[in-house]
Amino acid sequence: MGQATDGDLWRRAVDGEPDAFGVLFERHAQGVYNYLFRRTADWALAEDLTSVVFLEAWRRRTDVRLERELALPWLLGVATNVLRNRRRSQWRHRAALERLPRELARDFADEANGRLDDERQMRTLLRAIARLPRREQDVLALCAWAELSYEEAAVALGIPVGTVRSRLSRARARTRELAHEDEPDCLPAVPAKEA
Amino acid sequence: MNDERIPAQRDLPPGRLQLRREHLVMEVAIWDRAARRRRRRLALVLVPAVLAVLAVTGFTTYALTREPNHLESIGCFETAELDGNIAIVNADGRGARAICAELWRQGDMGPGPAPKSLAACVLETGAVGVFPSSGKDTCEQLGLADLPPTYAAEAERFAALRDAIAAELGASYGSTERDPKCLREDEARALARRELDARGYEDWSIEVIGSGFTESSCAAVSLGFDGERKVVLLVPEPDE
Repeated sequence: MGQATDGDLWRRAVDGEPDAFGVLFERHAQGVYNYLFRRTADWALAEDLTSVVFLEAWRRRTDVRLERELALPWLLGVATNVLRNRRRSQWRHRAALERLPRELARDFADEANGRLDDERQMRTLLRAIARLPRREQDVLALCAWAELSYEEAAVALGIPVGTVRSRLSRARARTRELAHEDEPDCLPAVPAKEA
Repeated sequence: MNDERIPAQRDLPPGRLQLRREHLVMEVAIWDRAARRRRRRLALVLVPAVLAVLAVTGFTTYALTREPNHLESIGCFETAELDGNIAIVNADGRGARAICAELWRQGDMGPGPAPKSLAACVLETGAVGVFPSSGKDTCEQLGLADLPPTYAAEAERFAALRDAIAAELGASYGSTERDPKCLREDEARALARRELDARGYEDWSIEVIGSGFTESSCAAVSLGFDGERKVVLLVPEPDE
């Protein structure tokens, strides 16, 4: 029997099957976690916000029609909104976050140094793009860092594909200008995927 | 381009991922149970209030020209009789007949076939009643006024008010679930007042039902409306 699609799992979750939502979490948590890290330069915060993103996704579950049965673009859109309204999102789900099990004490001792290096590196990159308008940062992060296609980024942000293209183009141009000034380049060599 | 500057992806260890997953599944189950309790409480508050208005006033005398003043709810009658079964539902800005027709289509009005047409009338109480119709004069035959054409615009305006207040208060209403806000009584009153005044409902007042607000604490709020008395009802809820 084939694996259930995101759409199947989503519909089962909306119909009152929390375990189906758990499967979706398992499937996409790492993608959301890494996207959040790249937006915050903080692994611990990214982990907590991953829970917030899925709680927020659940809260909005009845509003959603998954495009092409893919949940990740929409989840990254939720993540983008959570980042934009971080305090409000965390406050909204504070009771749930307080119920996180104690076993979640930080336990990355074996790779602590690597994670600290990541954070330093990422902070530098975020400083580099901080001068871009927020909407261009969002497109850049989704297309270049999370490797969504233009179409998927359009779904995530709820904007037309053409707008994604033009914002990304402006962001790339501006980033190159900045790279010639005093900041490092933040775009990966791999271009955003075409759908 | 220097892609080496973007740190490589890292995974949450499987054990931590599993704990987060279990936590999430537990939370959404709690959420669903809480939402069901909220809906039950809201129904307990609102349905008897509306029923009381419909039942206590009685259905004996009817003015044939009157405006509906219960824009918050609609009574869908099972038969073209005033003492028939009624399903009382929230108005949502759509036409009264469309709302009841949907109930019929969904089978919520009983096992029988949906009537071919419906008549929307104004009850003596000022509430809107929708009846199965066999001809043009259903309302008149029941001694009721037809629902005036101005109702649609008024119902839409009222639905917008209700949605705006519910959004401000974080109150779930009808099928719209909102995450509750924790508000003090003065905050809740001020938010509701602001929307009433801004939308032309200055003559409406606000009442708090129950003792869920204390001076120092905040509470999540459920919302009700009493169109006849022109009152917004705030119902503070105890913590889950």
